[in-house]
Amino acid sequence: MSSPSSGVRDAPAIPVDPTRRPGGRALSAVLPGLPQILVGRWGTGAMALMTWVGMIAILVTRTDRVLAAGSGAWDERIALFTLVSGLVASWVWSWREIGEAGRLTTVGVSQWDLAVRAFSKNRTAVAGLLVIAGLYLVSLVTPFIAPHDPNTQYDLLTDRLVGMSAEHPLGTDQFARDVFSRLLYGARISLSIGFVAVGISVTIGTLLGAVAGFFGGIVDGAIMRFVDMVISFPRLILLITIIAIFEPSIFLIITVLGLTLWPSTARIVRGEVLSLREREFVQAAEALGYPKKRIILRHLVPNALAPVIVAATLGIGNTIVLEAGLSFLGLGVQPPTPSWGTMVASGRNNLLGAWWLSTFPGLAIVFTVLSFNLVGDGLRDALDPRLRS
Amino acid sequence: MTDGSAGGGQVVQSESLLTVEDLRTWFLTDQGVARAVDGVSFDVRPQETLGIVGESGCGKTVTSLSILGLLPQPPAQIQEGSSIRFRGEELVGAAEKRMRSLRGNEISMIFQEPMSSLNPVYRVGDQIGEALRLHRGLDRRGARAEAVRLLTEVGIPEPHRRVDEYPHQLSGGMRQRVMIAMALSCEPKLLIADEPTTALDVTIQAQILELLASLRDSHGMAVLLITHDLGVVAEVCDRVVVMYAGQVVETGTVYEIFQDPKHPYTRGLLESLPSVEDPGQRLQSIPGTVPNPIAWPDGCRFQDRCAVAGEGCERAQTLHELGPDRSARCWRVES
Repeated sequence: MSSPSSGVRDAPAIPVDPTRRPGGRALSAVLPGLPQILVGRWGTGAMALMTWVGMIAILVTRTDRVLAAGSGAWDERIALFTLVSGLVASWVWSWREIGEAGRLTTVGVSQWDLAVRAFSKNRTAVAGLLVIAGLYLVSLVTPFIAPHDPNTQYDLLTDRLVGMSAEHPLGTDQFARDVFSRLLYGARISLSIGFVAVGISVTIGTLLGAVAGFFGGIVDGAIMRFVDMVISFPRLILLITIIAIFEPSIFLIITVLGLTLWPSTARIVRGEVLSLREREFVQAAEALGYPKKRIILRHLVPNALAPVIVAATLGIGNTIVLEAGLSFLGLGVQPPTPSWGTMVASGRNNLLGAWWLSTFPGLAIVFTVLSFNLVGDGLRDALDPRLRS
Repeated sequence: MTDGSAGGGQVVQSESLLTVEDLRTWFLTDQGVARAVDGVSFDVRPQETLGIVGESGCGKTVTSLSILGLLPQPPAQIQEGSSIRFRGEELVGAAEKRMRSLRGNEISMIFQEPMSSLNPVYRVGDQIGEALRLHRGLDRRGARAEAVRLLTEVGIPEPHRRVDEYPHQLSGGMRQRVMIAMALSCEPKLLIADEPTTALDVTIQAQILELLASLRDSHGMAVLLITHDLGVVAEVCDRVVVMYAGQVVETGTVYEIFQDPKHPYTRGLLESLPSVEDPGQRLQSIPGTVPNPIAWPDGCRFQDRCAVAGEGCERAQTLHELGPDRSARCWRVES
């Protein structure tokens, strides 16, 4: 200790982050996120700026639709809510972030905070996250953006299979529908199927895996043999059979995917819990008389979550591909509801004359899945303390 | 009341807090029955510190986990006729619900490895607060205030700041203090400390032992200290139980054990301590290791390693009473 007055009990001087500049406030008020980008925190800054600029643009160019949305259909109300909360959140976040007096605090830095820091240094992963965030944002406010109704057929004689134009940015399909609008509406299907199906499977898998790992013995044996059984079923055949028996619908697909994807999560969580429960903090929790349910949910599951998050992120990408495949086979979302898979499928007959029909939904699938995989890889590196540099 | 002084030798018999009688905890393994704890009896009186000493593999930890009912059954099995009474209440075979309300409330335990005995994903204050909220029904605010107070009590500097830290931000000694704070949160009558200082630096060890002793006095609780370190025993214990191969081989006050060890195993342990009077001397060690609990030797279980083994050791040894709280499991003490 070189400074003369420093004792153990003195709080150390809080270092000021040199990258923060006081002039950011005014800039933050106009363009939230921009000051953060300027000082190098481009990940979070770009997120805020993207939301802010995008929502303002919608507000300006589609004022009539926004104003009418309050009394419109449920998806229009969701879009309105997204728009307003996006504006408020990005502005308030930027304002407060700038105003935090430039503190680099060391108190209460959790493992998650460290993981976030590691993740934000991974440029490709942050870029992937931005793409995903943008996609979800767009699909939430689709009713404001889409130039046309996705299912409206225009004049079959003049508007059929027309190439790109100002009226139809990505052309029209063989039924004279606007491809760009269908692409936007299709994003909602693909993204929500991936999200919800993985959500279901992660919940089931985490709970069953944790229970199996914690109790062991007969419970473990029963659950894991059930897992083996579900895994040994060829998933695609199972899906095709179930969908062939029942009427294909988006809810059926979500349910079937959710109920068949959980075993891998269960295996991951069980393995983690098996090693965690030998750790002394679990013994300590038992010695303090905590109920078993609490030990599983509060002490084991949060510690087993890191690999689950990675698997879930990668799983969303896989599920989107799976759904596209099912829709391509005609077993997924049924026409006229647009989904990326059905759009690729229906465009393949006209691929030579109208290349835009299959190309754009195909590219959308590729970029979305790529983004999820980039984020998943980034999360894996960030959440593993051994890989953190 | 209990005469807690170490040098007394005339400990007045008083109602005991915890009585363990003929505890036999066996493990059913593929290789056979491991008799890890095989007929252990001792008692802990209010506000005293009882040390259980022995090498690794003697059954010390299994004994303590048996008291709390924390051993998974199977493979562990507490045999018929074993008895653990806490304030007169039988704990062997007690309902899990009853045991849960005892754990943390009446009997607390701290562990050897402070590095892994705190949950890495929660703030220190939240972990202490969890115990307070579950057992004492405090609300979030009250639990936090109480957590700060407990951290102060266990001697953590800047408790207001530390309460928001995560375990990985604390040193080993501080984590052990946090563990002690958690164990103290519900004012237990008995604190079981399983090698609480083994993983710590020597200077920190002394601080933690001092802390335990002062907390024992200020909270009026009894401490069951499990250790292999006789130095630790000499520092804080009132009475000592020496265990070997799943059995008690000698009991006595700290003074008696150190001044006049009766069992050759105890003598061996004492001789393997470095001595201040005779520095530079080569340390003695007991040859060999603790035998496998699946096949304890017939007769005296210590005979293979005993310096004075001879005729008479082939018989199974019984514990000879040598006075109040004084006994040894060796036929030689009779003569």
